Amino acid sequence: MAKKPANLIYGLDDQPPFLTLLLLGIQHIFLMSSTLVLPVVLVSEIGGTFTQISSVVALTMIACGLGTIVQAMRWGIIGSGYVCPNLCGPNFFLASMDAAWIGGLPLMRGMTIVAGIVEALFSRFVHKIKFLFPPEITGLVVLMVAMGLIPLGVSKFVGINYPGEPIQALNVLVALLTLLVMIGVNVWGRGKIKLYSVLFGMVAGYLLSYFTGLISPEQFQQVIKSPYLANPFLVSAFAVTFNWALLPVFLIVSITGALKSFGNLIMCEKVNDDEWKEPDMKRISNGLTADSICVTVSGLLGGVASDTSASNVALSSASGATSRVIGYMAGLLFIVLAFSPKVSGLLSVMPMPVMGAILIFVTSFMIVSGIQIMIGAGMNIRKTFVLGISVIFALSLDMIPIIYASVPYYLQPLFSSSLTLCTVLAVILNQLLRIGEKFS
Amino acid sequence: MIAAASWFVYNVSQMKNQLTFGLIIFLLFSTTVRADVREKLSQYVYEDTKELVVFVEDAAALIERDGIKAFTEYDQPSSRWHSDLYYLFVYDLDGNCVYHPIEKELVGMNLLNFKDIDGRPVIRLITDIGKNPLPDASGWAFYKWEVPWLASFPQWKSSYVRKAIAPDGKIYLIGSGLYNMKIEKSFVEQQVNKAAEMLLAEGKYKAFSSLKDPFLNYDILDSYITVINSQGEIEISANFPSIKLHHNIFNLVDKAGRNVGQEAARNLQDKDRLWTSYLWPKDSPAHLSRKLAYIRKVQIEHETFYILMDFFPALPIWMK
Repeated sequence: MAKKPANLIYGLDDQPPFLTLLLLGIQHIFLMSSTLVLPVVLVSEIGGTFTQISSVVALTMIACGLGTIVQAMRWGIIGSGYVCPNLCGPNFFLASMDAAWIGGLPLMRGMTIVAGIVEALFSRFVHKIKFLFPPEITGLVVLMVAMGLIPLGVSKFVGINYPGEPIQALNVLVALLTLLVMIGVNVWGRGKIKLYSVLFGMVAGYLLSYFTGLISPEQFQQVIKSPYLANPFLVSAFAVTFNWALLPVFLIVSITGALKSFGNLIMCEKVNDDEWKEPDMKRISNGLTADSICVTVSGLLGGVASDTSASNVALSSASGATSRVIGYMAGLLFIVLAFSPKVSGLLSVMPMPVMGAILIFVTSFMIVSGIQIMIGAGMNIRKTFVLGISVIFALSLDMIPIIYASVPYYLQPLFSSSLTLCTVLAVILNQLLRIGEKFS
Repeated sequence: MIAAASWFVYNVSQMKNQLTFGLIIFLLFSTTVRADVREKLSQYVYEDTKELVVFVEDAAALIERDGIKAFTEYDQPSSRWHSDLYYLFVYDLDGNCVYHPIEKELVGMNLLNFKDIDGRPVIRLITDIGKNPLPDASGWAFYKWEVPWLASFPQWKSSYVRKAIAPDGKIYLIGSGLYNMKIEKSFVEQQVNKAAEMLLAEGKYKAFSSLKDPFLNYDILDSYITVINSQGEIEISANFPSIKLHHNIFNLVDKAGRNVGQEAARNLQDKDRLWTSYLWPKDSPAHLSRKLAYIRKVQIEHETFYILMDFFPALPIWMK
């Protein structure tokens, strides 16, 4: 039986008052919207019309909303019962872009469905490999998921989008003030005020960005021009195609996404249980099934594939509100707002410093959680090598990727992300170094 | 919510001094960009490009106000005109160097016929921008130049050049550049349009000869001009500049299976320019990336030619 941590204002089974619930839901959907620019970029890149862009954004929102609700449920083998929302993160972006390039939206849809099915299969077997994931390795996965947010968070914080660009002082200042508001509310705020640390920060960040011109008038014009209500389902947009050549890429991103969700769900368990010792693999398995449903539905509807959001999980931890009804509310709001291009447009123009500040704020929680899980497992010389060596090689992939440029083709999937490399290395080393363990 | 708002207001009032300090810092960081400059900036994607344009535009405004007295201002050691990354240079319309803080020996020299390592007439590219009748004409010059902190060999430099008319009526061309910049779409448009105008003005034979001539190169940062005829045959190519091979671009398909050449020709039936994009190998055959191409259709002496230039746009820094 899980023990509710003292710092949680609303635990998993608590029912916040309606207004609180609404505000917490809004806080989550702002974060879920922070990457909605990715489907906009994707459809624009393949020459999509404004209607197609709006449609794909809305359908992605519907799938993410649905995924968030299903994740918060515990229905048979589906759903972990945690607030672990879905968002259209960078994980699937390049693969989806390749598919959209090669075969347009129908192929992207087909490959997304395949990725969902692969994750569904993986989710059904994950409990059988529990022995591969002792707490120190699950902590490492959580830590590496958090590390994966660093490039996006820091580049947005300093206002840099492309290599060679100068640091934008104004951007940094607005990001810093936004971050300070969030930290201030979280550290010195009393009682339930902590629930809204990100919301306070976002309001301050949006206002500062508006008055300093960091939100461009063109962005506002686009939002103003958008209709209040629209049907996102395009009649001609239900074609589905498949390409064998893209299968390896989608297999990799599907498994990477599943590993990331694995880390996120462990973080959810840890946040909700003061006496957490090891992952509940059945629950995680059900959570991954929910995630796979979200990905599959995204493909079926015609949205861009999503995965679970590390930043939203960390937000729950930061705000001290993990009640699963918040997941229902956030999911429902996301679905409803998908039918309003004006509102979804407003959500997708999140200024860079606001996005950067939020990501840094929530990533801090996740990094510490990962470290706590690892340290909590107790250290010995075997674990030191398992964790140390895995981290060294994983970080080397991010720090000096050029040294892996000539990796043989068949090994490239392993080097597709530092999360994958770190997890695989840790699992192998852990099994290897356990040889003779009971005799030592 | 009311409690939250009261808490926030209370804490804010307690932090009056800190907020005042913050506001001062905030105002110091805030920079205002003139409306006319803001309009010019809207065509660029990258912040380093925009920052360079603002730098030159502001320096030009100083010449327009103070004439050559502005040079004294540029020389102030602690002023904003001293940057680690770029410096200002000024020429007159005849190609005389009137200000150069790095190579001071150049000041007073006529460099109109100076050419870079590949034979590009660097200063002529700069003074050509001044021939535009607009009083605030501007443009980009691409050439190879020494890097101040690297004495060994010249590198690609992209310079933004702005015409500035001093109070005494003298015309100056003020510019500044960055080394190995990311290619902006407007750079490509400028080069292709320049080549198209030359083809229209000088006719096929003279223009083709000029386009192949390294003294008048139109290439920028390893992107090149290609000319194709109405049958899709390549007339001018950077791969084989001095011979014509029977390569037909209408037979080429990109890695997504699209025949981009034929598609572009169809789309150009009722217009004379367009941007298109396609999937192409980048660093290795397996590493596919998006490539953008700008195409101009030129009709001359009953013949149709397509002038194009393509490049790989930069990927966001956070995307692996």
